[in-house]
Amino acid sequence: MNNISINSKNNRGLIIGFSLAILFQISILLVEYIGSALPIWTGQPIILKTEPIDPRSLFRGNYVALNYEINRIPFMEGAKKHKVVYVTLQIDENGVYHYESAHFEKPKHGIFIRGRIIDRHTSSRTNKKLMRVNYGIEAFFMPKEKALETERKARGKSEVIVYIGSNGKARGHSFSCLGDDCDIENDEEIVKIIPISNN
Amino acid sequence: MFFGNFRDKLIKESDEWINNEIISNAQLEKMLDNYDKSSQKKNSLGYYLLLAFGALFFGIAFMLIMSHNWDSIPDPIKTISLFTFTLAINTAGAFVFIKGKEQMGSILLLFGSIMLGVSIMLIAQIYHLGDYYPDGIYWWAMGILPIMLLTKNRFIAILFIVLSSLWMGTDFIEGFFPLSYPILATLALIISLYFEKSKALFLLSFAGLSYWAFSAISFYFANYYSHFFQDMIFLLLSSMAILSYGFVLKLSNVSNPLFPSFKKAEINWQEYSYFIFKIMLFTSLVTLFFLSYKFSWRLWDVRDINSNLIIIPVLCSIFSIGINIKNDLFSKVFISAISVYITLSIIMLSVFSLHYSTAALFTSGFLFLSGIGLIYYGIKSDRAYCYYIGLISLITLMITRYFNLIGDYIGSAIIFAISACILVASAKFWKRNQNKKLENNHE
Repeated sequence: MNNISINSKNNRGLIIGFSLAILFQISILLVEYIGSALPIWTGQPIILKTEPIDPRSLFRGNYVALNYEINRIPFMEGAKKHKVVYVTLQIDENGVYHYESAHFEKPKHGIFIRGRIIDRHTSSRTNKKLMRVNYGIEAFFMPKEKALETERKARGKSEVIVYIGSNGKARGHSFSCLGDDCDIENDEEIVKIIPISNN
Repeated sequence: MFFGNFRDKLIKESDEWINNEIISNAQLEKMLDNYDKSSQKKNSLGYYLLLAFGALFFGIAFMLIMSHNWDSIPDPIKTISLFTFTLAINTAGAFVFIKGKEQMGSILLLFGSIMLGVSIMLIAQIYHLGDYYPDGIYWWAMGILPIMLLTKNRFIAILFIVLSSLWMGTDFIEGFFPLSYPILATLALIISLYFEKSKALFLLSFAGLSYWAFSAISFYFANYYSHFFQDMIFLLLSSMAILSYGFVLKLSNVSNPLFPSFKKAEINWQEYSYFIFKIMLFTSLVTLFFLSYKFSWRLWDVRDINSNLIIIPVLCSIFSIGINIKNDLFSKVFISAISVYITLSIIMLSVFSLHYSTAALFTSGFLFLSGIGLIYYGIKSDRAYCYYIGLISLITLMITRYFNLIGDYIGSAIIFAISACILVASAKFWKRNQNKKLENNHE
């Protein structure tokens, strides 16, 4: 009788333990999913122009490395590796967004995107101190065949639709245009960013 | 027999002995009680492993079909499928485990753990997550942790420690500090020490903790954009070697473990100790071999070591010798020898600024004596690996130092002659030892 009660106690413990463990696993997936999808559900779509790292291998296999104009911004005093930075985006008379300024505190208004400082370097052309910032939108996944096809169409020019949430977190969504298509005007709601000349 | 051991072979042999009335059934049972019964468990493990691989290949076939059509499946369907499969496999595994079929349940839960990682990666792909990727590995490991603690299964534990160590390594590389790693590795270590016999799990946990300790010191004292110079790395690695040997030798002779009631009887800490000791011994001898050349010392810039930091290997030596003070003679002699060698070498170079060739000569001498010591101990205590490692180190040292140890032909001839005497003497000593044992058995 004692053995049976010990066994049922053990079983009850295991049932509770496994239930909590599986719930925990599903919660991990749920948090990841919500964190990914929330900017798309609630955020504002903008288009960012990508700068090809290497036009010949911009799209590689299943993983596309994208380099945006806002990935390199002027160096800030107090900048340290992995520090969070908020980059405000400025709209000009053509309705185009581009880099305006960067802050360590979250801005109270305006469109801003949240990133982390990766490193600092000096531009070889202008000798200006710059820092590289990543925003979590530098990866774009697509099958290898599609990637090669897209590379062929893009020919070094592409724009990506990015959704930015109210906290500055961004998610890449899709390509807005590739190659020669990037010269035509887009929808009013989605504003294009034209590249500023390399500094 | 693939999963057999000595006990199984004995059972097979005993048929003839019983038929010829050399021994009785009762005597056989008494003999068999002295040997490891775990081969029965190993046979059923083989059955489940075959089932597991079968299920794994079905799963891979299904995933390949999914991958082929992946692009055409809408994102919400993909996401729901991933959630469903993860939930289904883990729930099935938990159900089977609770019903008493622990091995089958553990295998399903192992697949469930792998499925969790696949889901994390695929959700990141679906939504083009370019965020800090080691976080994905960390949460995969954390998702497996409760399953590991509930099942105490070695395969799940091995997956857990591999993921945790991967996260630890990538965090350090990216410039972050994996503070919680020691807790994760210690949990995996506890599984191997108390609940499930697994040399691989023990090795991975122990090696992971050692690597974390070394990297943590480097991380704390070195700047983000610069690292320790070679001399500091040498100092830390050699101090860690002393500590590691101390712990491993202590493990072979722990008389009163903490919480003994939790420890499974078949888990033998001495086995773990010998296993790690063999690996460390071989690695150390290869290292010593390279250190018997002056270029290795020059490479590490050992003379640049700050003399105030000599206290580190000294303290490590005192600690390691201290915890082994009640151990057997071999452990005491070994840990003392290695501690003295390391500490003296560093002192000679950093404090007295002796030439690197002196350190190389000192190392050659130490290697020579260690070889003799290991041969002697191997013969005396029937530890074949000690004997062979001692033999190999002696022969390798002689052959490779043929040209340049002393300098001239006469010098080399003397060394070869001495080595020949040692090898002949060890062969005679071995034979005498074997004869003595045979005589004792007959008595």
